[in-house]
Amino acid sequence: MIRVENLTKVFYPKKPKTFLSARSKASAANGAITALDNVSFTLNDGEITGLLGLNGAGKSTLMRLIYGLLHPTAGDVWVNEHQLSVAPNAARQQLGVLPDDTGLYKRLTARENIRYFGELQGLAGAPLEVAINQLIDWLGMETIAERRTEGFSLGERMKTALARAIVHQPQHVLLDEPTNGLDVITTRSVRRLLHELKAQNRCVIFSSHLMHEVSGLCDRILVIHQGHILADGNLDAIMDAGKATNLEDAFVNLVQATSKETIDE
Amino acid sequence: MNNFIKTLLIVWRKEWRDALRDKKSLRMAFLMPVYFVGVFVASSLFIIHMNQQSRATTSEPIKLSVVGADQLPALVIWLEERGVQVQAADEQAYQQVQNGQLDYALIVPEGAREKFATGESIELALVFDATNNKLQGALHFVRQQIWSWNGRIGSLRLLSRGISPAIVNPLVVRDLNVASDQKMGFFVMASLPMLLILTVFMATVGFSADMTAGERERRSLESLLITPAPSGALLLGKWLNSLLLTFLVVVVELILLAIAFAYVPFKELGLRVDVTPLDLLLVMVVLMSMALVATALQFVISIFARSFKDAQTYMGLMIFIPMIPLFYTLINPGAYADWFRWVPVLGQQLLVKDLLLGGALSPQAFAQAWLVAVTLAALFLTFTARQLRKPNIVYGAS
Repeated sequence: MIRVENLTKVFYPKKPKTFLSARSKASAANGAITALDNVSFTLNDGEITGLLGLNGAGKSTLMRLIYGLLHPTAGDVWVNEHQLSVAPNAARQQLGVLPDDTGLYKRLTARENIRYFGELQGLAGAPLEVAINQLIDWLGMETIAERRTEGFSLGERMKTALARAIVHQPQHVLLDEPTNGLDVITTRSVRRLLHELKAQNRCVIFSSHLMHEVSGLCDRILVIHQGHILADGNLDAIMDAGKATNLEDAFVNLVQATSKETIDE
Repeated sequence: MNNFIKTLLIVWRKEWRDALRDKKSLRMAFLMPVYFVGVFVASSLFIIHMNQQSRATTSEPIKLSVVGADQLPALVIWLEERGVQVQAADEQAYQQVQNGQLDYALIVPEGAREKFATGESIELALVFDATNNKLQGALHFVRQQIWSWNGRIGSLRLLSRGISPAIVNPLVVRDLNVASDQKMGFFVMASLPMLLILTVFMATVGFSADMTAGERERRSLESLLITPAPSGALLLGKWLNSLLLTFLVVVVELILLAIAFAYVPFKELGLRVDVTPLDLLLVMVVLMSMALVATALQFVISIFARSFKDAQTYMGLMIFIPMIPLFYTLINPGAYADWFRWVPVLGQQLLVKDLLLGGALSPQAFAQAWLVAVTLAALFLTFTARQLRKPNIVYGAS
């Protein structure tokens, strides 16, 4: 279970230098960007939650706040009983994260990449090797496991990164646009993996801007726009809220309604 | 704590494997000692060669062509006793020197024998070409011998008349030559601590930048920092890798130096270089204290660099930090104060110099160098570890 409470993140432009006048300080504060504004929700175990939003809607910021590499301006995150601002390492232990556009160690083989992260998560010996082999099997990586990752295709890189993220079998899995730019076969194996994780009663959240993927996979959808959660519920609930018969139209209606409001203001 | 050490070792093992597979950086790192020792040996050999050449001109017998040698047999005997090969020359000597057939010649005039016998002054002529610099040494020697014979005969004549020669020789100048070659040799030896310290600073620049700024640039840093591994363990594991690689590079350099000491004839420079294996081991101990600071500094700098290239640029500038005290002592070789021992780089340089050139050693000096180094390295590393999980380090500008 991941609980997000009143989470707000404001990015300030570069700190004004101390010798600047009071007026220029005030104008610098005006340039602040509110990436997330008072967001609250709870993600349940055994559910796949899709985070749907346009580019720059705040998806990655929300993810980064949940895994604690960005610090919230206000609010906090709980991973089960661990409060992130109090016990970040204990919280991280229960998270498996695939960040947006992550890189591999190119001089290590795929297996060594996965093993390194397993070890950093506290695994060792036979249980670690079993976990690695299982992931290699699930993701169909047998042919690339012993190759150095330099020169891997996007799909091969993504599979390795994904295996690396969940090698310690975390209760909570956060994936930032995991299927971005992948071919059909690879996308399918990622999808299969997500279903497998759900069957194991884990809490899965992934962000995407691909409608068909979200509608096909998710038990619950969060629509995020300009730092606000516009809608929260299963596919039917979102389509009701967006007054449309498919997710894409519903999403566009929701987003455009908000944009108009902000213009009217 | 146990968990901390375990994570540290996991990180170090991974970085070590990564480094061993990074053939390009390895080659660069281990080429440096070869290059530095090569430059050192080459400059030593060059100075030895110069030294031998300048000695060759004085030790090779000086040939002097004399016109009318039979007029003054006493002078000729005196010159021959002093190692000058006297050759008879004919009346054309002047023209021959002019044409370059002879380097120089001494002309004894007709009737010199009679003048010598009666105690009159004789006018000798030394013919030479002043533009020929090669002859300066030989001419100087011949002239000096002629003057000393002159002084001798003059003294004998005065003595035979019952007068003390001291009356006409109120001054006697004795030459005390401080050979400049020896100084050059000393200069080369004194630059050795600088080479060693520079090696320590530069050996793992590429690796340290790769493990921090490079990791961020390849976007694997974020994933690494999401793991529950303590920041301190991550940083120390990486730092340990740099330290160990620096150690290996320095070991290679010292082995090469030991070989150089064994085969380069430093005795020719009048330098007594007797560096024992124990001395080299102690040099190693000193240099490792320097390595603690140098590698920690590499991490401080590269953690703030935006990219791998950026990091390398900053590290290039970092090299100037040790250069400042090193150049100061190179320009003022005599400068010394007790507080030098407390200054990083300077303290180590003094110790290495003492070890290689045979100065007085005290265990206290080693302790001082290590104490300062450990404190500084701990400060640098703590500071860097605190930065590691900050958003502006992970995501660049923010």
